[in-house]
Amino acid sequence: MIKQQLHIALVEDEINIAENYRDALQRIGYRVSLFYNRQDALAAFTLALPDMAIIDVGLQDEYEGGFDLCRTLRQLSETLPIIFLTARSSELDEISALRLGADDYLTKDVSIHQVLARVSALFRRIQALKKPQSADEQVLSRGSLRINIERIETYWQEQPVILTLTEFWIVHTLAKHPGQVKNRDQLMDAAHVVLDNNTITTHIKRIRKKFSHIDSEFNAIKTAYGMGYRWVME
Amino acid sequence: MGHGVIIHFSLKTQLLLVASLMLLLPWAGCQSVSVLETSLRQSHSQLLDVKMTAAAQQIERKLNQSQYPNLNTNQGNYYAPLTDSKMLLDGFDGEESDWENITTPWFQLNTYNYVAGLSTEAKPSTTVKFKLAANDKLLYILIQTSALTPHYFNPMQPKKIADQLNIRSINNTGLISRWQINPQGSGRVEMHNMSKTMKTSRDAGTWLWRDGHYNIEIAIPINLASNAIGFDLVLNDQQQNQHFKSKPATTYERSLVREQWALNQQLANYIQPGLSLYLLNSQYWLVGQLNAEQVTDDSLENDDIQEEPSWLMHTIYNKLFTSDSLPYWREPTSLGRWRSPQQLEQTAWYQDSPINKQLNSKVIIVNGQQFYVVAVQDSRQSLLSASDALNQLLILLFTIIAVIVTGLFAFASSLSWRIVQMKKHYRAAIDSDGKIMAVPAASRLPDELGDLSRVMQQLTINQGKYTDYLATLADKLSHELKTPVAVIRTSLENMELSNLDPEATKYLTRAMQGTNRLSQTLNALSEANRLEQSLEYAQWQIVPLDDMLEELTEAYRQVYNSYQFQLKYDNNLEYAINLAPELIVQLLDKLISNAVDFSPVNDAIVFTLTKQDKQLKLTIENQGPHFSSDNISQLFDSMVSIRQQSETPHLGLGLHIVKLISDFHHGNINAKNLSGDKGVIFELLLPIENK
Repeated sequence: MIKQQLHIALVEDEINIAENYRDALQRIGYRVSLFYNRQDALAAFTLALPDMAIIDVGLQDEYEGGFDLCRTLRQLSETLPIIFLTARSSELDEISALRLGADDYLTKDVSIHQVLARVSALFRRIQALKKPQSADEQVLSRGSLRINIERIETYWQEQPVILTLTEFWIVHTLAKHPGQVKNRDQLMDAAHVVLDNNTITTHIKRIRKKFSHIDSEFNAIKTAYGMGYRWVME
Repeated sequence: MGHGVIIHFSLKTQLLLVASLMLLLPWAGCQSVSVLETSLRQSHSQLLDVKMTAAAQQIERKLNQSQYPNLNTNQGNYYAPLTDSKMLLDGFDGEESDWENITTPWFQLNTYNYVAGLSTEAKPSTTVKFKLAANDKLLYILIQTSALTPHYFNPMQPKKIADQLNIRSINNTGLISRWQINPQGSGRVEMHNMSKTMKTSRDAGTWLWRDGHYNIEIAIPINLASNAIGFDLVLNDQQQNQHFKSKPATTYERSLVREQWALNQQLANYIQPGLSLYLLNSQYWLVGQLNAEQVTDDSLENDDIQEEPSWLMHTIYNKLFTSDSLPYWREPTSLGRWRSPQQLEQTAWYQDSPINKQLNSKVIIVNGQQFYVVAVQDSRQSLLSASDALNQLLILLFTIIAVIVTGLFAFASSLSWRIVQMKKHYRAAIDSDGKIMAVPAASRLPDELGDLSRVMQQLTINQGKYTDYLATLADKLSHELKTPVAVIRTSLENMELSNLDPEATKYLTRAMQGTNRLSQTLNALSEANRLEQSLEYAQWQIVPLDDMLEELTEAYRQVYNSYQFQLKYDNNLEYAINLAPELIVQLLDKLISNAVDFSPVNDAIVFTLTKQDKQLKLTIENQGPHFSSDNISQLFDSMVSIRQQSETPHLGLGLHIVKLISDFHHGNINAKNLSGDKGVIFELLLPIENK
């Protein structure tokens, strides 16, 4: 099985939780390595990178040890999926995590089933990215927007927009059917992630900001209040 | 609890009131000056009394020596004031005549040959009056009749009836003189001396018939009439040979009392500024006088150049030092006679403007007759000397008081200002929820207020720490509890994945439910804190609120499909407003979730958007049960729930979040019960221009 080959590194200082997650992940077939602090994890990662890292923010004495670890991991690999799993629920932490290039940010009060769902969603997305899409869908052009699906590249007014995977799939989903309102669930499905409502909002904010960097007039993503978002062609 | 009406009584006012006690000082000053003035007045009275006693004795002696005529005034007498000028006997009195400046009474001449049996209508209506004035040579007489037809003496027909005037006079030595005037026409007349065997004539004066009546102005030597004089005017107007006489008898003269130059000279010996002297006979006729005004004019003008205090100062002094019980002064003499004899024989003070007067009278006996020497003294002298000192005292006192009061007021103002500033700072520092925005700087001044300020600052810092601790307590608590809860939950979930027998599954499900509930509670606890953090990242934009609400109500209709959502607004208006839309959606979500929880199924939840001057007003109305009026004011406070116990945990944070977002927008949220037995309305006011 492919899953057997997938190796997840779980960096969590709370042993009980770590082992509970490990048990659950192993039960559905992943290989799990447990690390209780940053140093151990880092030592292992420099030898061999796992297929995915699930990291707690606070690691023993290091209040933001997880963030440091994430930063190092991103230097080691641009594409390694990283999920933060933490008891902290402040937006600041979440924004910091996503800014560091984490693919997801989960609080410990989500159920283990959701964690499993996200893990598998992340792996599925990697699979999907590896598989080339049908030839006529490779490039999506919507006015100033151009998306290369195969190479996961986004251009606005012919300038590249650097988006995370999640952000890329959100933009893709919205731009594919301009004018249609995509609600949060649809966007989550498209991004192959399970996020809570506020996280979608955060993603949309960050997407807008990235486009606004290139074009201060950028206004293509409209909020449909209470319902979701839509792509508007100028 | 009802608010008691608190009358604001500022520190400044209080201090001003206390400072006004300083006004007691000038009052006390005035009191002491008043006492001084009273004693001055008494000593003045005594002084005057002593002087008067001496003067009265002197005058008495002088008059006795000078053989002042012994007048019989029992039957009434005539009075002639002193005229200092030689009068022109032109038959005129009134304005611009010699008589104008002489205050002398009119005397009546009566007709005594009244014939019984004449009807009343036939009574003569003619009246005759006369007045007198004298100097040391002549006695001037002005006789005036009412309107009549003149009958002049015709020397060609001496027997024919004609008007004539007879005069009898007696001098000091008892010599009786009789005179007769027979006018031959309007004009100059002669006077015949009837007492001498040889009939002599002399120029008498003028006998005028003017404007229908006689004006007779004549003069006789005073040394022939110094004791008594009488008139007998014979007229023939309505009745022939009608006599108008001084007395019915053939000796019709009456005593003549006159003001004498010699006596005035006597009195002039006692000349003194502000002193008027009057010498009265027993019938209170003025026989000699010395007026203060003359004195002032003559002697004071030279050496007393000092400025007269203004009438205002006088008025103030009089108000301060004159007791109201003093009677008002009025001119004591009228037409040569003392007005009120009861004033005499006593010493009294009178109030007058601008200066008070004191009156002192002494009785002297001259030739067995009673005379009064009356002195009227202006209190000007004493008052002036007192008032100079008083003036300075008052000015000094008022200056000191003004300085002290100003100083006190300024000091009070500065204290009050400091307190007000402190109040303002602390009011601004602590918002309505008791949250500390910024700790005001403490005063560095080394007084009690400075201490208070420093203590207040310390208290505020402590309170701030405590508030922060309280605010983060829930978050910390939830954070600390999350890990053990996660341990429990992940364990349970793992257990769920392993094969359990049905009995164990039952308990597992219960444990899972309990854990979920605990989890939700912990989330809710940290939600407000999370929101406060996320406010920093809020994105402001200008949004047409009507369009936004249209989208939202549509979304709510889909989510809560068993409720009616209505949106009312005026289509013609612009509702563009600067706000953080994500937060406003969150606010509305909370309000709607609250409304849906309480409102009966299928009822309408009504949004009404209206535009006010500089803000938009959104009301959300539902038909849920009333809030109890007790807790309506704390509805938006944290951890206040007015719900019945329900399945989902409820910490009353929803409306607190609404309040946080509303405050963040500088808006205002409040809730009210609708009239009627149910229905509540939330009212949100948002400023259009924000930030």
